Amino acid sequence: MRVVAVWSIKGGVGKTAAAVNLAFFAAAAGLRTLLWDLDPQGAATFYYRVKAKVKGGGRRLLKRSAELQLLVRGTDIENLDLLPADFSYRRLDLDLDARKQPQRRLALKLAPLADEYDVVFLDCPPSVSLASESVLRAADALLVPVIPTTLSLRGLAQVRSFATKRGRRDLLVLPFLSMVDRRKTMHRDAIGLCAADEGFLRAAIPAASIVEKMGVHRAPLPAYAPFSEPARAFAALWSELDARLFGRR
Amino acid sequence: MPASLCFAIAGPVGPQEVAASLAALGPVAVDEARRVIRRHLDTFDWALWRSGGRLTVERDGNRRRLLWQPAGDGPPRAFRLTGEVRFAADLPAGTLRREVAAAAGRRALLPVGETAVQRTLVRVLDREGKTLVRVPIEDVQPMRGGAPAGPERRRLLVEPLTGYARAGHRAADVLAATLVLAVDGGDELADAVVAAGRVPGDYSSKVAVRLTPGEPAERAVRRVLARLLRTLVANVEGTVQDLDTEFLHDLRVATRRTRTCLGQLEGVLPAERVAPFAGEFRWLGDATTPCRDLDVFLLDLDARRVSRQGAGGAALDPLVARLQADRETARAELAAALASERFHALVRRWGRLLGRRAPGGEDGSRPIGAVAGERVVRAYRRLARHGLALGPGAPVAAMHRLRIDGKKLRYLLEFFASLWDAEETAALVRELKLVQDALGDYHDAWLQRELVVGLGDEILAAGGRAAALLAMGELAADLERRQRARVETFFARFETFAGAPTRARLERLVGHRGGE
Ligand SMILES: Nc1ncnc2c1ncn2[C@@H]1O[C@H](COP(=O)(O)OP(=O)(O)OP(=O)(O)O)[C@@H](O)[C@H]1O
Ligand SMILES: [Mg+2]
Repeated sequence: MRVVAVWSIKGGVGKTAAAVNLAFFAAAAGLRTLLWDLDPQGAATFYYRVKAKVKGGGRRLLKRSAELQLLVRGTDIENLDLLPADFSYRRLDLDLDARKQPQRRLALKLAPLADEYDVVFLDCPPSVSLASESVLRAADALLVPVIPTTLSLRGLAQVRSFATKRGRRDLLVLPFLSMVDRRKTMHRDAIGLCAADEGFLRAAIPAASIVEKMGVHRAPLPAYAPFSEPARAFAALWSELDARLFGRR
Repeated sequence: MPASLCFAIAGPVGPQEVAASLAALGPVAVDEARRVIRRHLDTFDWALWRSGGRLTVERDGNRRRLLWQPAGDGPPRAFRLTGEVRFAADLPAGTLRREVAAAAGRRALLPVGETAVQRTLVRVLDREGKTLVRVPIEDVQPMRGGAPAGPERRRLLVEPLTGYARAGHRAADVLAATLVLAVDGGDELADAVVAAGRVPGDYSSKVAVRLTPGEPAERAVRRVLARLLRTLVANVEGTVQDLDTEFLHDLRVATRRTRTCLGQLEGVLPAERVAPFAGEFRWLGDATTPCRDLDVFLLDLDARRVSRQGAGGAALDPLVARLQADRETARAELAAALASERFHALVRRWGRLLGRRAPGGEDGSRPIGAVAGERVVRAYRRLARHGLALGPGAPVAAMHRLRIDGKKLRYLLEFFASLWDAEETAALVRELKLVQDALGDYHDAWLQRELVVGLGDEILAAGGRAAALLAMGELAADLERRQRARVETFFARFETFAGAPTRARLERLVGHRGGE
């Protein structure tokens, strides 16, 4: 089982869009996939039409005895299960802090699922917190959406230094370009900078209004617009991620 | 995983009827029908089928995936398929590989049947339009050589999504109440296999012949030998095609068992008619030896590499390559022997002889119960006598003869197991097997060490590096240690096995007491 955290310090950069659509492609490729929605806003949960409710909330879920399996819900996509969000996750830091070894807690909770899933996506809220540390410790790979602006690139530098300090030694940090608008000069300039950065995944997700329609269709993008440009971009992003996670065979 | 259910559809029930029935629960969606081809995999000896598991490669257009249904009532789980699947080790790592490997071991996963399936998915939704239960309706057509063979079956499955077991129960209840369904949806694998001309479970390397104690020995022994001949012949093709190493193993065991049967049950079949075959089966057995020895060595080296997690593994590559080349030569020679007129004549004549009742030897008309008991006790006593005369310093040749004594006893116990108390027979065979395993391991270690030492010069001459030779030296030392350790294990176990209490149990079991 490989754990992929989609995380960034910045909000609204396309983390959820990436988590939701990459999970779709992973499942379509035949991998047993779990999407864990850790954001109290529950956008990923909403897109997959699951009720955003976790019995007992985050506090109970973090108990050693609470089994994640019992909270998992199957989605409309074969091979794709979802661990729904809960409004109580807004207090996740406090709940974690009340536990022993809070940094290791998420990894510990995921361990029993190792045989059930090939890949787990964590859709994280934008913050730097105890919860993000716990996420980093659980992750094999960190996917970081970067909007091509100079400010975002500074944010990426912060993410990288945080990940090096708090993540596992072999953590893969994989930034990729998100919400790219080539009509904007600033975007074009920043794209040049990113192209020079070898750590970036090659696929870039274009900004397109069809992505926003996920909330209307309540389905991942490829389910209603499989041939759209952003859907293809997510597919390409998935094949790169796939190769990085599982190697080419 | 929630339980899934499978129904057979008896009446004219299709997706529309199913959807109408399920509409009582809430919104329902009917997806477009898809046609998929399923290739069912199992080992030659049906290891998956016997374990209750089902492994299938499903092709939908140019998409392929693996379906694995472990024993139990969960729905099949889908896995990504990246390359060709020949062995459990080719499967994606994780539960799938572990569960399949536990059943299949090192046997190849072979196609045993094919079905073409027209699949229409009906889905039960909640008010948000989310799927709660999948209800596929499948028309399953067994295929043979790409053409339909045998009757098509329509069935209906109820597969609740994870976390929605209650909705699954409600769907099953509604369907059962409103449509004509039979609970048993049939067995797709069995239908596919039958269409392909086989039956699940049609092969096992066990000597499963049911005998009765009063049966004349001549008839009983002929039946055992006929069964062994079938096993032998069943493994020829897989051996020649080199599908996996166990075909040769089973073929070799069937040959050795045949030889044991001829030797240990002399006086039962007419000596003058059987005599010419002894030499022929020895020839066949000898023809299998080089390839099998190399198989065992290569498997051992593989296990060694796995257990040391690759440490120092690459240094042995020249040795492994050399052994593989030798093995290929040995296999080609064996294949030639199995294609020879000599082999075919042996099978033909032997089959003819076994098929005909003939006046037996002097023991032929005695009841098999008495003859078998007497021979088992005799074999046991010989084994005990020979073994107790040896010690850890015994020469390899003497230990090898002892191993053969042990095999004779084991085969006799297996041939005639149906005559005796099953549990006690199995217990004694198990104890004997422990003794034999130590001895077999000892012998393999000796043989492999001889090979390694003997190949040193050649590896060097072929441009081998110092690393290769050092690794071979280390391997040889390990083998020597293993040989020494195993011989001690053997004598520790043998003492118990050859002791009076075991002897008494054996005599009681087979109802025959040997003299002093
Ligand atoms: N490629 C895209 N093109 C256009 N709009 C997008 C794209 N990706 C995401 N969006 C939209 O931008 C908004 C933010 O995206 P998203 O929710 O994926 O970001 P996020 O990083 O998860 O946000 P948050 O930090 O709030 O969790 C959403 O309304 C989404 O529909
Ligand atoms: Mg989000």
